[in-house]
Amino acid sequence: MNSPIELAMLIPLLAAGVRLATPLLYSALGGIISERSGVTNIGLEGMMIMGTFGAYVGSHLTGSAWGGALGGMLAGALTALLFAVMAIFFRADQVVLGTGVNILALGLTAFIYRAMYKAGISQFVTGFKAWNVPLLSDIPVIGPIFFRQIPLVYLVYVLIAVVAFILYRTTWGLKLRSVGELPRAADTAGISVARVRLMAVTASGALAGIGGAFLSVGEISAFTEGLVAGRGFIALAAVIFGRWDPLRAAGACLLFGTADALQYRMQALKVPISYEFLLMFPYVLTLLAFILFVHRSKPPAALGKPYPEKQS
Amino acid sequence: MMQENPKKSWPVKILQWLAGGVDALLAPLAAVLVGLGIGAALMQLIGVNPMKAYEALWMGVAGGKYQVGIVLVKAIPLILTGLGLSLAFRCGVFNIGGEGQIYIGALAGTWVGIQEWGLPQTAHITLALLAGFLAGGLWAAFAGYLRARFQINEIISTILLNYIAIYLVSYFTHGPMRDNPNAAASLPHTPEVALSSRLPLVWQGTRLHAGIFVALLAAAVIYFIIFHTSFGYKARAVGFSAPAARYAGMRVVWVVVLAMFISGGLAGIAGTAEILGVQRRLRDLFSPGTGYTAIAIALVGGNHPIGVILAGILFGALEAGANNMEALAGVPSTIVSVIQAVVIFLVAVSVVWRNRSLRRWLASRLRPAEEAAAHE
Repeated sequence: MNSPIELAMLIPLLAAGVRLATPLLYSALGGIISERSGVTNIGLEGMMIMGTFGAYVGSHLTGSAWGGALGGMLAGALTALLFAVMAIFFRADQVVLGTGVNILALGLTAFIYRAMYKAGISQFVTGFKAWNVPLLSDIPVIGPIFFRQIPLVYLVYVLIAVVAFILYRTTWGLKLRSVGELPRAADTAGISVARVRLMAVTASGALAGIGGAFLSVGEISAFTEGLVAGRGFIALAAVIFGRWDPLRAAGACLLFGTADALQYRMQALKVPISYEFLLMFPYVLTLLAFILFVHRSKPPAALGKPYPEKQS
Repeated sequence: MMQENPKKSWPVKILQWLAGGVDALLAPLAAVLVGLGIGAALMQLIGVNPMKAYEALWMGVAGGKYQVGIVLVKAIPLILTGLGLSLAFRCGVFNIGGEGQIYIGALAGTWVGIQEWGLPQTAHITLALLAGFLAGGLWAAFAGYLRARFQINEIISTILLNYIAIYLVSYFTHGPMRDNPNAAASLPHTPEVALSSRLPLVWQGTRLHAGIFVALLAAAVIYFIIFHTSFGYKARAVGFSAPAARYAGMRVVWVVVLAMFISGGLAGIAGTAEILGVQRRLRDLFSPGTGYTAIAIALVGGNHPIGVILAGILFGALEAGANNMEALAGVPSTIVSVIQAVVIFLVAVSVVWRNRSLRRWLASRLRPAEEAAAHE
């Protein structure tokens, strides 16, 4: 950190880390909201996939990157709503449903995309452009790392604070947490468990959808199959790793993002390690972090349990 | 519900067994029909005539002997992996790592398969399948151990292990196990497996290979393990309630690890059989998501070996048919994933809501007669 040369190499790496962490951050925030309300959201990956595609369609239709982000958000939210109805009102197994969501998203997006491609619709759309935040981007070190990004990155900074605030400082947040910890007590206190969970899961899908939008209209201004590549699961790992807390989960996401950036940098520098191992690195790191630190974390007490419990 | 009446006469038992079977089949079949209906709506959306497309699908499934063979070939890895997953699910472990276990199994199996040891065919095949079993099994057992010993969420760990396994196979096929690495026309796959390790074709005029017997044998073994061994009983007990099983003195950690070992082992055999019987070379991304489809198969099959066989054939048929549909009717084959997802949703929902079953109805009709018989 002392010599300017080291700093000059470190800053782009960390900036790339923030960029690569952003889709994880969106999805992790979504995962926290859903899981704090007691609904396991394995379908986060699928909601992100729907988001990548929804954003592509949105940007294609409106010709604007923000239209794309909105499309991604809607696609994620609608997918989540479908999942939520089955999980909450039909009380079906959340893990099974989540797996179904992931399979559905992969199949459906590829199906429609291939049909569109055949019809001659371009895979490229309007994407986001980097926008330097006035003043903040001029701060040495911090500026180039955090404030010379695309607008979706700045939105997630705000959302981290908003989610943390809602969760810990508002009645909504209290309701959400009580429903996830002790639904019976919440129910007795007059809170509609189903409604809170429905809203929470839909919100989580909307966030994951923006995370997906970041990957398509944010990163490559196009859609391809397999863009998400397990990031929904890494985000879920970050949720657990961050003990269902927005700030700690954000830290975990930044760690994974930086690991990913490091891996790309090493590929570019032609480090004598096979690129397969470099590509593997973020997944190995996530697993290691998981093994080393996670067993101390305690999930919301009612996580994964439908309410009301089945009486027979 | 759980207690068995020892005085039940055998016609009653058979009737109840059949009723249970019909019950188990109704929901999945209805789900598939709804799935096909939604698929048809999607096709309409992209301007394809669904009747034409489904005709192509049907011809790809039952158009002739060869097509039926393809369906069964596709069903082999699905059944094997589905059987493995069903055991893990019964033990309460949500093994989503079938895909990674297939890859690791195929890697080890292929390594044994390409060796020219001059072994007799049976020995070489057995050895390769065994290697696949061990590799896939250990890969899964690791996740099982993490879950049972440290409460590390197996869904996350097995999924991360999937990506790691796929990149490992990619590394080996591009590097150490590459065919003719120095030749100009070298492609990133392994050499063909030795003649002595290839699974023989078993149905003339088709591509059906001996893996089908491996799959059926595995189903019988899993059936026996689940319902007729103390380990199977323990696995189900752990799945029902791990604390209760622990209280009853079971060593939960080892039950989970062993269940995951067998579960991943079967996926490993699936991967190996796919190479030895069909593809002959290992290449990266060789599996079309079999490990994920197998989750649906275990679920739709009710985690029962017979159900898994039927569901495996059904999903194999869907995949074989979809390929034909893509070729003849221009419908992207990924529509099968949509149909599969609909089936998963409907079965998942119906599992909870199946209160009025044929079996229960039968039981309620028979109960007075049985009680009367018991009083005599």
